[in-house]
This record gives sequence, structure tokens and C-alpha cells, in this order.
Amino acid sequence: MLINTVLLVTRELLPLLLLLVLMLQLQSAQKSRFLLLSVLLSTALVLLLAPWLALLTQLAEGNGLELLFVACYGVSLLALIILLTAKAGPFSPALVVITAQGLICGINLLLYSFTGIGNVDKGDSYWLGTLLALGIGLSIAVLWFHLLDELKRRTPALLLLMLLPACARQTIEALALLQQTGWLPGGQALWDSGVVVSEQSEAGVFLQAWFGYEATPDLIQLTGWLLTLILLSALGYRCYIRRVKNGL
Amino acid sequence: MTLQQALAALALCIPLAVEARQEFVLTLKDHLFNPAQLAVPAGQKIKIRLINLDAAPEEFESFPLNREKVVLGNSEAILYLGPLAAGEYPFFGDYHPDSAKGVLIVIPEAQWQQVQHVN
Repeated sequence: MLINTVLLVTRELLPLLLLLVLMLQLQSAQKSRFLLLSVLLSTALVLLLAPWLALLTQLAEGNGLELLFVACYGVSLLALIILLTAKAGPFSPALVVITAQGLICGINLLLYSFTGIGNVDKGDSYWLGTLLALGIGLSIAVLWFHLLDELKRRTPALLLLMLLPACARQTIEALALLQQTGWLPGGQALWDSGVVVSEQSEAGVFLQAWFGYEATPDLIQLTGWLLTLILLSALGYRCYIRRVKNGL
Repeated sequence: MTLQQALAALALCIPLAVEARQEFVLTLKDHLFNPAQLAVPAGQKIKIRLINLDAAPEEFESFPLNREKVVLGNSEAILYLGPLAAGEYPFFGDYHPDSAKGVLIVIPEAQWQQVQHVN
């Protein structure tokens, strides 16, 4: 239970923490206010939905939760596109990104907590595992923060470039969930890179959280992922050049 | 187009997306999958009705299948899969990975017809 909790909670927390660090770096001011507001909003939304989780999971032939997550990824992607094309990292879209990701992470953690909390045998392992995972996640987040800080200091545009893998991740996650619900056709895996980087390995978990790494992607997932990267690269580049020309 | 017409059109499209698929049942009791080896046909769209008979929730997880699905305690969920290539696709319960393990065995279509015929 202990090791499993560490693995599971780290896997859920990491995408949120990596995005949170990126959003913090994009904020020129009010970082503490942003952090506080995003935590409060995400927590409030999770608490608001908690009593309805059982009902939510049974909606749409048992796909209610997946459809909610697809909506979160969609909203997140739109907010990230606004950030990519905006003059300076605006406050509200960044808040929307973190709130949407926080909702996904919070619901998943809440569901997992049902197996540990209140269980005499597993309760201690659950809490200890959660604390350890929080420590691991925060350590990675601190390193990520300093890496992005260095990138920003050297070439500020690189920070905008880091939005692209985050956007591609939202797309591939939403597509995978839509396939899971049967709303999109599934397909056979194009390759299996699991022997090189397993999704269960430390590197696999990090890459998954960073750009939505899938060891066995199918055609729809790969196309969606690539299209997001290519189209948003072009869009971001156009906006950046226009801003440079205007001297902003 | 009015809102009602748009909703009606949308309602007509949904059954096309979720077309008829052969259904298989996978139950979970005492954190064990039953059957632990589930045979399904290759090259076909299928659905698996996942029935959790435990009081605790469980997450069906399979990396090769790209599926991750939470099923609350004493409830059920549907997993849409395929068409899959013949082979073995391991899966496990993310919340109890030590005990909840299984394999989806995807049988080539010709072989599947024979199995069906024998049954």
C-alpha cells in the first residue's frame, strides 16, 4: 500500500505541479496571489463535486467522469492557447489552467483516498505514502522551477515554447478519454516504445506529465498530438514575431 | 437551426459513435479479477462490462491498452476497446496492483470463430 500510494499520488500530482510551475514563471507579478487563488479554487471545486461523485461516474453509461475530464482538458487547452498568443502571461487563463488540472488531480486523489482513509490496516500507509509523494513531487517542481527560471533569464521566448508540450498533452489526454468512452474510434498501437521508456518508469511518468508521453499511441492520438504541436507552434511564432515587430 | 433541432441531430449521432459491440463481463471481487484471463476476438470493436463487487473503488489500468477507468465500489462501468491486434494485453487494478491482475487475450479472428463454434 505504501509504495503503491507513493507511485499513484506522484503520478497524479506531477502533471499539476509541472503546469503550476510553468504558470508561475509566466506571471510577472502576484505569484503568491496566483498560487493561493489556484489552490483555493481547485479545492473548492473538488469539495463541491465530492458529494456527487457516485452520480457523476454513472452518467453517460458510466462515462461521466471521463467526459468531465475531457471538458477540463479542453478548457485547459483553450486557456493555454490564450497564454501562448497573449502579450504577457495574463492572470485569468493561467488560473483556469491550474483550476482545471487541479480538479482532475483532486478527483483522482479523492477516489484513491476512499481505499485508504478509514481503513485501520491501510490508513497509516496511505497518509505516509501521500506525504512522501508530496515531497517527491515538490522536489521535482522546485528543480523544474529553477530550470524554467534559467531558460527565462537566457531567452524569454523559450518559456513560451514550453507551453507547446503542455498543449499537446491536453490534446492526447482528451483524445484517449474520448476513445475510452467510445465517442471516438480506438485503433491499434502504431508502435510500442515501452521497452525503451516504460510508462511505469520514473522517466515515463515524468515524460507523461510533461508532454503526454504514450508508449503505445494509436493513429488518432499521434495525429492529435502532432497537429497540436505544429499548429500551435505556427500560431505562437506568428504572434511572437508580431510582438517583436511592434516592439512589445 | 433551432437549439432543439441541433440537440436532436446530436442525439442521432451518438448511437453512431457508440455502435453495437460484442460485450464481455469482467468482475472484481476481493480485489481479484474474474476471469483473470479474458479472451476476446481480434479486429473487432468490443466492450467490457466491468463489475466491481467490492466495497472499495478500483481503477482498471492497462498501459498497452491505453485505458484507465475508475469503478466505484459496488458499481459497474463500461470499457470500449478495439479493434485490437492479436496478442496479450496485461491489465491490473491500480489501487490493488498486487492482487488485482489479469490479461486480455486477443485471439485471431479465424481462431475465434473456431472457439465460438466449439462453445
